[in-house]
Amino acid sequence: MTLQDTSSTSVELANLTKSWGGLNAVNDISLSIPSGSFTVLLGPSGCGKSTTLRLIAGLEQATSGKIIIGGKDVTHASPAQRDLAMVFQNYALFPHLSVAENILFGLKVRRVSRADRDERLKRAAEILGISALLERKPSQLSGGQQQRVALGRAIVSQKPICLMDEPLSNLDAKLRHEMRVEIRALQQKLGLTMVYVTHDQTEAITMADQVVLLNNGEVEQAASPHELYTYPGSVFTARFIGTPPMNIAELHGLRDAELSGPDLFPEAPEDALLGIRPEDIELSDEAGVAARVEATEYLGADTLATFKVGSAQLVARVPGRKAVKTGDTMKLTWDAAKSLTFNRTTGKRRDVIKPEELQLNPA
Amino acid sequence: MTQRLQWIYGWLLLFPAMVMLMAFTHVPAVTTVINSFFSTPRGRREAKFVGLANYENLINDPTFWKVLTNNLWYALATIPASIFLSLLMALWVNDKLKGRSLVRMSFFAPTVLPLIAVANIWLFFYTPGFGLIDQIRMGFFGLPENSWLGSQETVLICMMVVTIWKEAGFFMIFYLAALQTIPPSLREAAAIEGASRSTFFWRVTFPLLMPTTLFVSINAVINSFRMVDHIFTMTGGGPDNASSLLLFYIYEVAFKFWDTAYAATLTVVLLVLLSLIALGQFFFMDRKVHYR
Repeated sequence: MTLQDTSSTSVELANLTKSWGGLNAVNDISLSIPSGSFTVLLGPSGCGKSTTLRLIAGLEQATSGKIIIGGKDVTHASPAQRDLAMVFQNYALFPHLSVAENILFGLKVRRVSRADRDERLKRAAEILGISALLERKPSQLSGGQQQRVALGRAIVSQKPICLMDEPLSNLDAKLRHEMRVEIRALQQKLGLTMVYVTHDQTEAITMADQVVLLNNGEVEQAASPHELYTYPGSVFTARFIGTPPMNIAELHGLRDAELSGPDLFPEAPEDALLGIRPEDIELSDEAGVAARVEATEYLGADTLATFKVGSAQLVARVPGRKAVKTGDTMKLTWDAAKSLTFNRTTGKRRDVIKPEELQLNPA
Repeated sequence: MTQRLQWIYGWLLLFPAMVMLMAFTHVPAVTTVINSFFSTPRGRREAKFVGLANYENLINDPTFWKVLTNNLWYALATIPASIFLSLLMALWVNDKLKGRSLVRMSFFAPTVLPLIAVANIWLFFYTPGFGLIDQIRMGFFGLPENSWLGSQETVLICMMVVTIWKEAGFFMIFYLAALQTIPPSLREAAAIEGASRSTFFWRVTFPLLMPTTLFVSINAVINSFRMVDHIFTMTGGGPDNASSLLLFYIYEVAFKFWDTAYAATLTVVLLVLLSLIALGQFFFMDRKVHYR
C-alpha cells in the first residue's frame, strides 16, 4: 500500500551551513537522502543533528548552502511549502484538543473535505491501534499512546517525507523497542522518505537504510549500518557505534606483549592504532598474545572482560559459560583480517587515507 | 491530658489569624448586612429596626441609579478593553523584538505606579487649554480648548481611559506568563501543517489562554467596582455625579454624609452584585476553559 508516488521525494543537502553568532552548528554538510529510504542522523549531543533536521523542515533558516527536496530548491521555502510531516521529540500535541482533533488539525487547516478527513483518520487510527482513544485528551494518554497520536498526525497528512526528532527518547526501554519495529514497518508500508534524528546508536543500527554520523556539525561518515559497524571510517565512528564500542589500542603497546603463533598485527607504522571489535577477540589455549584479566562485567549471555595486553587494553566479549576471573592470564587471538588500523593524527582508517594525505604524513 | 493540650495548642495557633479575619472581614460583613435593616444612629437617638425601609429609599434614590448605570457602563467599557489590550501587548512582547525588556517594563510601569500619583499626571493631560491633549488638539488641528473633566459627556470616558491604561499592563503580565508556558514546538508543528498565524492563534493560543482569561476577567470585574482612587483625585464624582461610581458613592454616603445605615445598604447591593457576577463567570466560563 503505497500512498504516494515516491519517485521524486529525495532530499539533497548541498554545503549546508547554519551558524549562530559565528559558531557553526551545522558546518558545510552535503548529503543525499534517497527517495523512500530510512535515513538516520546520528551523533552525540550538540553535533548538529537536530539543527540539520530543523533546516530540512524549514524551522530554521540556513546561513548558506542549499536544500533540495524532490528536485526543487526549497532553501527559502516555508515549512508548509516543503510538503513534509514532522514528529517532535515532545510530540507537540495540542493539549486542549482531543486525539481526533489533534490528528485532523492539519487537514482542517488545509480544508480537506470532511469525508476524506474521516476516512484518513479511520485508517490511521487502525494502523496505530488508537481507534478507542480518539475522544480523549492528550493528558489522558500514556507516553506511548501520545507517541502514536503524533505518528497519526504524520500519517494522515499523507506527505511523502517524514521527519522525526528523537521520537522515542521519552519512552521506556520496552516500549522503545516496540515502537522502533513499528515505525520501521510503517515507513516501509507507506513508502515514506524518513529522516530520523537520534543519539541512540541502537536505534540507528536497527532501523536505518543509511546512517549519517555527525560530529561537530560535520558528516563523520554516511553509510549503511553494516558498513558503519564493520568498516568504521574513523576512530570517532569506531568508538561511537557498538556497545561496547570497538577497541582502539596503540599498536606499539600491543606489540609489547608476548606473542606466540602467527602474527596478529598488521603491517603498519609504529604509531598507528589498531581497531578490533570485542566479539572478534577469542580466548585461545595454544597461540595468541598474552593477556591478563583486569576487570569483568557479567551480562548473562556473555561476559565483557577487560584485558591488559602489553601496555594496552582490550575488551573482549567472552561467552557466558567460560569462567574468567580478574588476575587470570590467558592468550587472546583474532582473525587479523577483521582488525582495522587507524592513523593516529588524522583519526581516519588507514586504507581510506587518500594518497595526498599519505604524502603529508609519510608513514 | 495530652489531648486537651493539643487542642489548646491548635486554638492558640489559629487565634492570631482568626482574630484578624474576624475583626476586619467577617464581623464587619455580617454587621453591614444587619445595619442595612436599621436606621442610622444620630447623637442620642439609637439605631432602631426599620425593616426594608433602607432598601425602599435605595430604589427611590436617583443618585443610586445614576452611579449604578455609570458603573455598569464603566465595567462594560474597561473590562473588555483592558483584556483585549493586555492580550495584544502580551502577544507583541512575547515575540522576538529588539528592546523587548524595555517594552515589557514600560507596559508594566502603570501597575507599579500608585494610582493617586498618576491620576495627578492624567489630570494634567486633561487640563483645558494647556493640558497635553488640548495642546495637541489646538496646536496641530486648531480646535478650540475643551474641558474634558468638566463635561458630563466626556468625564466618564476620561476615567475609563485611565483605568484601562492602569490595568492593561497588569493583566499583560498574566498573559505573558501563560504564553511562555505554551511550548514553541506547538507553533512549529502548526507551521509544518501550514497553519497561518491567525489560525494558530484562534485554534491553539487563544483556547490555551482561556484559564488566564477567566482569571483576568474576574479581576477586571472586581477592579471595575473597586478601583476609585482616581475619581477622588481627578473629579470627586462630578460634575453632577457624572463620574461617580458605586463604591465612591458608598464612601460619600458613609463618610461625608454619615448616613451609615444607607451606606451599609448600598454595600450589600454591591456585594450581591459582585458575587453574582463572579459566580456567573465561573459557571459560564468554566465549561469552556481547558485546564492543563
